[in-house]
Amino acid sequence: MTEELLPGLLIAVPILGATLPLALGLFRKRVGWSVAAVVLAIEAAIASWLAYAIFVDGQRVIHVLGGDNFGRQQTEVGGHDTEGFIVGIELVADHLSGLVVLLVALVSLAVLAYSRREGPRGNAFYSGYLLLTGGLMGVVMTGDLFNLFVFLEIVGLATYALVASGRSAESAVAALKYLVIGTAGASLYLVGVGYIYVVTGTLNMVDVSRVLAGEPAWVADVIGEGSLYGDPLVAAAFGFIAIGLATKAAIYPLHTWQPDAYAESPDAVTIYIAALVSTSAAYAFARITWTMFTPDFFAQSAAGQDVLNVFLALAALSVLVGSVLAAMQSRVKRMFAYSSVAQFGLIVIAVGVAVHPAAAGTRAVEFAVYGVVIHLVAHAIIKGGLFATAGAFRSGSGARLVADYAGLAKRRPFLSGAVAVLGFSIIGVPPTVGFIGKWYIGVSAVEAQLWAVVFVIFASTLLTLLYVARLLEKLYFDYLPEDAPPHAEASAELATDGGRGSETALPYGVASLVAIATIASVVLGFMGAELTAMLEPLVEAVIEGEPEVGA
Amino acid sequence: MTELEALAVAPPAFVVLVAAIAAAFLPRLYGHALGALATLWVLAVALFAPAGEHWAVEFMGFDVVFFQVDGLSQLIGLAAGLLATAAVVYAYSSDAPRVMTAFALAYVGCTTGLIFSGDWLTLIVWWELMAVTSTLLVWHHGGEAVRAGYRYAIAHGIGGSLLLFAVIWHLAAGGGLGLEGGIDAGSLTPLSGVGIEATAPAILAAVGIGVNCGFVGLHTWLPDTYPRPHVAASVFLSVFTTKTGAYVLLQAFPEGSMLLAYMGGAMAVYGVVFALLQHDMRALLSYHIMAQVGYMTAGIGLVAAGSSAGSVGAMMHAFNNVLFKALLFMACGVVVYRTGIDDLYELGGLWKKMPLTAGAFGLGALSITAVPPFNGFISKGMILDAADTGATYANLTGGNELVWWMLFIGAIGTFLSFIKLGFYVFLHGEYDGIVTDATRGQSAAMLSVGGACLVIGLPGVWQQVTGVALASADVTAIDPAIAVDNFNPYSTGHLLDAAVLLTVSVVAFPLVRRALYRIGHVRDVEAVLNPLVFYSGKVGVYAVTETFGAIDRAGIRFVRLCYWVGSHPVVVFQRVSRRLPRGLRPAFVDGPAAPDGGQPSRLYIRAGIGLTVLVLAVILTLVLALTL
Amino acid sequence: MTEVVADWRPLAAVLVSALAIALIVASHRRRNVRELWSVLAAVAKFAIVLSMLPGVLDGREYRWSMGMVPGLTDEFVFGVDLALRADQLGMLFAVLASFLWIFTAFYCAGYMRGLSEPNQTRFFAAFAASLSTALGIAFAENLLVMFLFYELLSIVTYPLVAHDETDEARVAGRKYLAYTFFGGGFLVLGGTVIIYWLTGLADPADVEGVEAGESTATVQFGEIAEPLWAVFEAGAAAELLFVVTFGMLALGFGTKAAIMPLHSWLPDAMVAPTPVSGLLHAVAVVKSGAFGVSRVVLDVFEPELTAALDMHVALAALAAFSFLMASFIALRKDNLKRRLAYSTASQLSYIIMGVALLVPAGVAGGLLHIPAHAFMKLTLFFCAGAIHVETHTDDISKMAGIGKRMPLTMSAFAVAAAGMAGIPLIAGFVSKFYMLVGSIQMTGDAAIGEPTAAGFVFASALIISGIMNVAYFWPVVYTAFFESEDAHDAKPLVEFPYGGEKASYGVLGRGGEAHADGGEPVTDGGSTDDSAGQEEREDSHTGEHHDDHEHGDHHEDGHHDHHHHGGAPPGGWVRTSPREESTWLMLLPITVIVTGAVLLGIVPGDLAFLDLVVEIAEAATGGEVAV
Repeated sequence: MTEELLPGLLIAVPILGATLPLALGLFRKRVGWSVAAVVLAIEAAIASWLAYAIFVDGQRVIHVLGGDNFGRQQTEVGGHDTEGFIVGIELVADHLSGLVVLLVALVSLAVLAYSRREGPRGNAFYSGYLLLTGGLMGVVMTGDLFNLFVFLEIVGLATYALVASGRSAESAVAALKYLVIGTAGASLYLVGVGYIYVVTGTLNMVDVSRVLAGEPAWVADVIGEGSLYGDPLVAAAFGFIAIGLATKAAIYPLHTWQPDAYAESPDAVTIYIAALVSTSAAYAFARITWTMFTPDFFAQSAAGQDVLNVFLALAALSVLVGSVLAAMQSRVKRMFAYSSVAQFGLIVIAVGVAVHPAAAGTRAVEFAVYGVVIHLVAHAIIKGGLFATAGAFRSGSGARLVADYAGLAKRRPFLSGAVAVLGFSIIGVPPTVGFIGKWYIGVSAVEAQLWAVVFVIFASTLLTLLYVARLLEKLYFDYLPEDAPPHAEASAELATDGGRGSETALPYGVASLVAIATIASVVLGFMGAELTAMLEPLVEAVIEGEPEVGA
Repeated sequence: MTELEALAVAPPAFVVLVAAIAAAFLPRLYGHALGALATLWVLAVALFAPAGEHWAVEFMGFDVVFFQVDGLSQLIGLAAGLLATAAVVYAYSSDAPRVMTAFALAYVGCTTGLIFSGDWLTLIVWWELMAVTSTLLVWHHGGEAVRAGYRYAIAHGIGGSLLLFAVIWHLAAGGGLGLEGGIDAGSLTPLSGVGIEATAPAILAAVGIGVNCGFVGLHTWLPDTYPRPHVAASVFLSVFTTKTGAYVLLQAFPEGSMLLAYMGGAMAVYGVVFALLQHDMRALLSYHIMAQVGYMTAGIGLVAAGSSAGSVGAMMHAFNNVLFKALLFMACGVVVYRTGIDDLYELGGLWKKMPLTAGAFGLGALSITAVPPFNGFISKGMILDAADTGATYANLTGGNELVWWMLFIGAIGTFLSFIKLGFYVFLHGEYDGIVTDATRGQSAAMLSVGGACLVIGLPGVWQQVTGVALASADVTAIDPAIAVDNFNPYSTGHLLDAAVLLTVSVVAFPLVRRALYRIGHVRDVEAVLNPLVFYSGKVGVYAVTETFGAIDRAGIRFVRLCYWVGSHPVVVFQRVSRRLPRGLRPAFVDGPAAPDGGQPSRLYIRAGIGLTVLVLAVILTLVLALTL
Repeated sequence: MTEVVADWRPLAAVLVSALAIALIVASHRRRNVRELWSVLAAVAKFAIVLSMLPGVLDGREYRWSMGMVPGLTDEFVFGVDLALRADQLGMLFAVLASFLWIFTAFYCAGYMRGLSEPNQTRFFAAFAASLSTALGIAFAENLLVMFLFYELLSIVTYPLVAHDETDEARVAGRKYLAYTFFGGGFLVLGGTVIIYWLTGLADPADVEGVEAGESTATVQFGEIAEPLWAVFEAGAAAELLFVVTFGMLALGFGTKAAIMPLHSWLPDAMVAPTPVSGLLHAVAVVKSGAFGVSRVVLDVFEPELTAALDMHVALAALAAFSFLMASFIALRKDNLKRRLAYSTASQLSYIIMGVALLVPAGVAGGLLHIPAHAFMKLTLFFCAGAIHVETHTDDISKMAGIGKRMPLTMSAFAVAAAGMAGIPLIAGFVSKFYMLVGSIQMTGDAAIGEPTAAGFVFASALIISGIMNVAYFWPVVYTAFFESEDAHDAKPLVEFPYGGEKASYGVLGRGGEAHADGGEPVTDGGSTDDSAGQEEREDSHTGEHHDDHEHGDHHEDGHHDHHHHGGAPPGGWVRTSPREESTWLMLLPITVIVTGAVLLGIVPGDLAFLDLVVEIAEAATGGEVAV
């Protein structure tokens, strides 16, 4: 019944809500947080409702912006009958997007809790924050290629603003860098979309996919053959779109904006964009590759295959280089940032494997899909948690550099413990969600017998260990020069927070965010089966090449 | 049950081992007394315990006979028990420390266990434990003995392992653990390829046992170890290890083997030659152990030549040798004990000062040199007969000329060296200095053993012993009974031989005496063997450790390098780009470097916007190129 | 046939020490309470494990799976259950580890207090945790769960290695993590995934219990071999893949078993407190590696396929190579713990070789060596630790005459050392005996008793290494008991010229300047610290304990040798009675464990271990152990 409205609301509520802090700000200061809290609470409620509808009732919720007077209609495009293309913009909440929607809603709420005490304050920030949330919702749910571009830009702009809210010269530079590179990426994406439109005459993903597959009768008349897959324009389109999204997802060597942006922006912002922004881009990449281009395209188009291999190579490269660069960093936030480069490398690998011809017919497809979705969620949780601890260490103990972390474990056992758990989770030590994702990605690569990729995936365990172990060793087995060397029981006695005067106790918001992330990363580690069960329809769709997931 | 069966209740080994433990803690007197009683128990077991398998138990999942009495074990057990008792008394009266006697008793205990063990597994267990306990006995003396003991341990470690290897192969080959039939299993094919008609386990066993018997080349531990420890310890050592070696050799090779026969002959000759050259009394005696065991080895080997009496002779000789060799060690021990001198050339004229000791030595010497009517005369005669091809009486068909001559030469050498020993220690010159004779206990021990040497040789008595020795019929293939029945040591032939030997030696000694003195001490094969082992070991160790060390260092250096590069990217970048030609060199390189190579300064090697867009374009063109 | 019983005990056995962690941390201020928790947990753990032993010996298997928790499913990841199963092989390891932990818990208390080490709470917590994970490895039902605990074990033992927080400790810790994660996260995980894929290639028709259409993919012990064999037969995957997979798994687990060339973390890990070196780096951790290899050979590939791939020869050869090399290196180590470490490396390869022989006696011998070596090596480490606590002596070259000071400890050491050399009536002899029988029986096609060249080589290797054990262990014994402070050979012997070199501490007042005597030959090796660096590290190490020492509760004699780094105090070692030589906290464990080693040697049949290994070996190889 009313579920059809939910997608629309999910986008509308935060975007409209974004105006409130500014508006009310005119009357009362410090109103931003409460407004955002209310809005995001509502958002979360809606998201959960939607998720319930999708995963429990198993429906595929579609909302066509503009209501019922649009919908599928006979129209003429380029001189031939379109056989009922969608008119208007479709919002799709299915098994793929539903999960991400939930993730976005919850993370936004949690990070808001974090920013309560840690700032940045000011109503403008909260407006940007809500705007970003809305944008993300849009990216996740839209079923329209151009509309996706629009939301990507919304997300982008909101992010630039938030990054710049750091108010330091560096953050300004970082924001600018992100602005330029991000826009370049987005525009390339747009070019790709243009090609698609030229070829298919539609922008609705489902319809595009159908046309590409050559299902409508007229395609045959025009092309004279079964499908449009052979068309170089299509392959080029995929190339453009892929590059565009790869840039947004910060795949090496297009990652350069990301470490600066993460490192220079306020902690709360870092957590949020680290957890969600790249995630949304990677999600979009997966969605388009799987349900729009579908495995058939890569099976049939040699060019498409080559392009895909290029991106597999880039992804593999970014796993290796990202980890190494992470290990080289002296600042903790940059370290985590580069780690994200590596992690998204893994995700993109899996996205590619799912549609790779080598995987066709094997269970690699299935496992790759599991791998992508689970690792997206895992990375969001883990990286969010890690950046949260980094922020807490900064504000609590003034530790920015890895070197500053020496011996902090004795003063901040809780935070250190969280770093340890999350760190091992990102390495992929069972039983954590990080392992589940990695396991599926690894299995899929093996099933597809892409041995080079397999090697990279398992080597990444060691490379990740490089920087995580470095941090943990500092935390637990080192001590600052000014501290006396560890002595007798003294050190053990000190096992309470807040040792040095400079140190402040942990705000509840921060603590809860860290705790939630940590616990979630472990608990989800035992729910591998449940997670995969949720994704069954998606898997079928990808295997069938069916653009409508769960239809 | 009768009191005789009571003897079979506990394996004698346990009795002695318990005594050993007690002796370590009790006061000296009680400890030694207890030890003597325990060894007497062994004697009683050997004499009266009913033959058969007692204590058949399961060990390590195998059925083993822990305590078995048969003719052969009775014979050797008899000697062991008899001598051990005397040795304990001797030890007590030579003020051997408590702990030393405890070790010695443990050693005796293990020997007893070995003698009365009814299967190979039990036997190997005791065999190894003998090695351990005897090593402790040597070590206990400290000083030089420690190193010697260590070499002793390694030698016997090797020997024991080889025998173990043989036994296990025998077992794995389906030969079972039973002693009967010796070590090589029927299912095994001989290593004809190598040119010898023996099986691999047999060879392993021969070498393994050979270490204990002092085969030529494997004997270096003998003269190396025995002269070093406490005099009483030497007495124990001189008896058990080597003689049980001969006993196990017979168990392993009941059919004998000509290879063994030749080896025995070689040992006899080699032993006496080196014995003649020794200065140290106990070293001289040690070489004679080698020679005497040579006779036994030859006897066992000759069974292969059809001389069935060989094994009997060998076992009898083992029995006798236990007595007179121990006696000689006791006598020389007393000399060392009283004078503190080891070198026989520094002694002389002691017979006046210590007539009793001299007498005891005389008894021993006459026995070992096989002068009638001493016990050595009987057994040595039997072995010589076994080697003698000109069969002088029924059923002695076999024999081997070469072996006979080697043994004969050995006999002459024995005479010479004991004349030398006796001459320099007791007769030659005067001993100035106060020295008293053996203590009461020592005397008792020596005289009892010496008496035994004499008595056993007497007509009417020796047959008894031979009767027991006949028990070796249990193991040998051919029944030696007839041979032994017809054997007559006091035949003219034997007496003649003895006379010849005696005269030859007495005549020869004055001639060779000076020569021997001048030749002085000659290094044995150990001069080659030990360095060989040591240096090969050392080279091996160095090679391995250095190789691994090098690998490890290389690895660490590499890792260090990576660490450095990782933590100083800017410096690395500059150093690299400095090497570039001017044109290509990035401008900033000439700018201020971070000399400490500390923080990567952010302005340097971070891809700026322009660079990124460039990269973007490059990839784009690549992709487009692919699509068209 | 084995019946599988659903039971919570496997989980309980794993978690009981995890629970203890919480209690230990909670009571970090009252150390008696804290240590009490360790002991209680250890006893409880052992009791739980023991309660399952009779059933397991009757061929029952106790299984816990996640599905037994209300609201959860068995499935951990797709097609793989999260389940623990106490089978015979697992029990072998579990019984051993949990039993030895009881006494190690006492020893830990004695040791850590004796040196008043820092961070004791963290130490005891991590120790308990590592026992949990060790049992997890023992009971793991499939490769993935085993990998899970294998990784956790690496993690929780890391704090123990890096415990000292010195540079040396940190470096050792890094090395440890790097090696174990390479072995675990890379090799084992990779191998597991490939196994999961390979088994999936099988045709359901060839695998019993799998309907058509179902996937044959599995990583479950005992169920892998069948589909794997089917795939191998059908040639559905290149043989090389099987070889590589076997190699990855075997080496992956072999890393923790310090198999060459992946051994070098172990000697460095000796910087950890001795109880760690003892229970973990001689028993729990390293044995988990050997145990893993056994699982791979017996329950993953199973003898048939292993033999078909000729991997058994390769593995045994690698093992033989390792234990010979390790023995060589051990000859040259002067630091007692390092010598022990290399001895451990070699002894663990015995286990691997025994199992790799694939004949009943060999497998039995190899597996029996797990407990046998555990008891002996634990004794040796406990002794080394006691010496360190009481006298701060770490180097063999400084132990001349120490037998006077620590009679009981050194006697225990002597017994265990003899056992290492395979002297009868001590545990080592029994297992070695079986392994020798096995290697002779490793026949290929030839008739029994005609060993293949390989079998003969392996047997000879065992013999040689036994002799080398004499060569590198007994000098410790004789120098302790039979050499005096002021007149002894300079150790380690190979370092010095042929004939050795007289050395002296000059603590007894007389003589002392070392001089070479061209004297008696030495036929053994010797050792040096492989680098000056290590030397000074050692010093800084002991140096550290000095200041700790001021306020540590320890024995009067601790004060004497307070100002020099180990070695005999002025006036020589004080003759001390066995009761006085150290605290009961350390002497009791030493006595118990060494007694265990001897009992294992005298009445192996009456302790569960022999029955267990015989049943395992016969089940795995389908042959008779008895010959």
